[in-house]
Amino acid sequence: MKKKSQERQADVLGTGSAGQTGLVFFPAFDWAISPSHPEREERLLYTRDQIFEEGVMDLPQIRQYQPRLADPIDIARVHFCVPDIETQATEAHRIAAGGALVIADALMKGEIKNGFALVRPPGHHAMRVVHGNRGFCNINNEPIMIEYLRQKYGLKRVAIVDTDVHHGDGTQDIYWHDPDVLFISFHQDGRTLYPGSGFTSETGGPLARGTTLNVPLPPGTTDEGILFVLDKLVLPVLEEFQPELVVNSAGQDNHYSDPLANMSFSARGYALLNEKLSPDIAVLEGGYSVETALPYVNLGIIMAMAGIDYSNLYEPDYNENNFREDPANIKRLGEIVRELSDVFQQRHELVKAARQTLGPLFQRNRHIYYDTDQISEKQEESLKICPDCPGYLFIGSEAVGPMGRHRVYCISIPLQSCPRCQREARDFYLKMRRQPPKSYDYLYLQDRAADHYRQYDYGSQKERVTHS
Amino acid sequence: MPLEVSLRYPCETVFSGPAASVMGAFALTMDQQTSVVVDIGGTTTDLALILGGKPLYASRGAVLGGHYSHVRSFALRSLALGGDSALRWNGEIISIGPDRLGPAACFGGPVATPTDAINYLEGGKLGRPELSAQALKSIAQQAGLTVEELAQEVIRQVNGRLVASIKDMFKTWEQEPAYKIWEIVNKRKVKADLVVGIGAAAGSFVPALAKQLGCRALVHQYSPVANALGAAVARPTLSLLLHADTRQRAYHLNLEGISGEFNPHSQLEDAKKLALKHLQQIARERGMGRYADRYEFFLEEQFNMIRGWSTTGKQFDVGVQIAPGVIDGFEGVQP
Repeated sequence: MKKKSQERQADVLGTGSAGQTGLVFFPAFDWAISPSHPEREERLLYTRDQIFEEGVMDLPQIRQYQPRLADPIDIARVHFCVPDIETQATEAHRIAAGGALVIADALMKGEIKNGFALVRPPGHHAMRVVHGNRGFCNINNEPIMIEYLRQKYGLKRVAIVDTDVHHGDGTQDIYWHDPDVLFISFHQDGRTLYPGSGFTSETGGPLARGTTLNVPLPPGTTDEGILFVLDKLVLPVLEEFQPELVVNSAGQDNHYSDPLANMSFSARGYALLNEKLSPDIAVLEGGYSVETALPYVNLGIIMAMAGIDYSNLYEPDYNENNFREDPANIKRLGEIVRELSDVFQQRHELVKAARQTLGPLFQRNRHIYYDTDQISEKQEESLKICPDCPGYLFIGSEAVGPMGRHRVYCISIPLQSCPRCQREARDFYLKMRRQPPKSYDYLYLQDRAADHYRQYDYGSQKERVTHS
Repeated sequence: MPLEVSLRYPCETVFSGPAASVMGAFALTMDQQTSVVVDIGGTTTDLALILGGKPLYASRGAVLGGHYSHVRSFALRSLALGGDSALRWNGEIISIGPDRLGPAACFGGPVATPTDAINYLEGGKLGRPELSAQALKSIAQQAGLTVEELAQEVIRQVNGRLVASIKDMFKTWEQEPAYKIWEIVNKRKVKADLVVGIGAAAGSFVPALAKQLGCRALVHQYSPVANALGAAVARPTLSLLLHADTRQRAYHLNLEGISGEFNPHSQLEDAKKLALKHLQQIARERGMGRYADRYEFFLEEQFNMIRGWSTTGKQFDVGVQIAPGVIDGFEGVQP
């Protein structure tokens, strides 16, 4: 499946230097959440030492790029930022997202065969509505990149494989109702780790059922267990889904030395995973064993993506006997793989059935906690059930925290929406602007179909419009 | 650097030739402008940038035969294109270089060169101009051009390649990796104010080149000897890197194997003071003490060392150098 998309690119764009792996290395040496927070200045310091000392940046297979600042529109395509984009996306966040955009452009222009945005701060816990920082994340780098690619280059079908040890709940939220973006996350079981979600029952919204797949891994899962999931579930599902682009949301905290999690994955396991997965783009997420894991894992991912022999890559305390899996565990993983494969296989029937049985609206109520900023959010999300398209979405959200209380209302029109849904949603925005049924601080319209984004401030009665 | 020091560290003299041209260009301008230095020789043309009066250094050291070295040097680019590059008609296009078969035809060389093209267009001021015309004519006939058209095509090609390389050099600099937010946010696009021509042929190419780049040209009466001027008036420089670690209570220099004890309560300012102290001391030992106060810091990094959840130490990396410039007493050239 991947091969096809690469061949297609090579045909269109000419092969040129397409043998290279693009790299944006942006360690943000002047940014931290707080001085002793895991997400701090020196998180990628030892990675820099390792990849520079190994001369990786000088290899002909590697092409280094400079990141840029993501524009407000890039963020507006994905997020409803409260009170505004500038508050949630500081320069550091915009550069991290911009690093992914630079790699995406280089790939689409055919300058590179694949690329790795080694950037921080990370993003995969940032959801559609953003009131603050959760799980070290404010804005979500991969969806920002994917929506940019969809608008600019017309990509449609994309797969994200989230290999971070924590459930990528932000990315899941953003693509929950999108049947054209396959989101697969494997992570340490949510009963034992932040953010406490990502169970097998979470398989996507009613009109996108089966394109969200979650594999909760028991604590202590090793290379063998993770690669089992990759071989038995991830690769076959990708083969069938036929995405135009595969993105690795590349967290590195499955590593056995990570201080925030309890898994037993090695740098070599990460390299093998990336060789098999062969992502078009990898974007760094978490990973907080800054000295004993990150230098080796990052090197492993780079080497695997660039096709460099990594058989001599291992941590100083690596012992291959520590990475064999308990047979009982493999059996349990096998059950999960079967369960999720079934859901994926039946996804079209499940969506069809949902359309027939559901009324005109599908609602879910959620409570979302922002651990970093101690904000508590209540959300009521409604999906318009449409016979012709994935439907449009409207969300009422109220958040309380140190910043005070914010009440917002958000309307989102997906790229694939039908003309009638687009019209309805735009009219709905105008009606909400005139006569909100309750008191709100801000109203948003995320019109991906028109690539047009609005934020209305009920207080000052001013509207901010962002478009390309 | 002083001669006896270069005997001890001969690799530091790599690229001293092109570096002298850069310093020669600086000696001709002596200002804070952004200049492109174009040194047109017989076989090659060397390009360098002076950004806001400061010569640009190669971020990863001098590149030798395609390999990075750790020798600190200016960012230089060399094109196989010079006044004596051989001209040929290959059946489809006029090619220039990359080889040199000898001097220009007007000086008795075997084949027409860009110098001959200029000689023809400028009315034959060099050597035996009839030989320039004759050599050009044989290629022009093969290509189906007049001698005039051929000569202009050659100048156009030379300038085109130089402009492309200069633009690429600026682009490369703009895309130099940056690792801090302020570097990305504050990095502006730079534009050249001036093209400084070096070498005897500079006068023939640089004005048109500057026009294409949208900036001014400087071709000075000393341009032909600016390389020698640079070698004569450049002041000695010295650069030093210090790495300090409060947990190890030690610091190390990249020069002369020096290391020592480091106070665990030190801050970045203390590390900078220590680096400067050593720089000035080594400068004095190397006979360049009078320039010891012309220092600048080019690297300042500090990181916390964390074990578990608390800070256990700090690491500092400091780079300081005696800035490149001219010797005391040299005040510039007559315009």
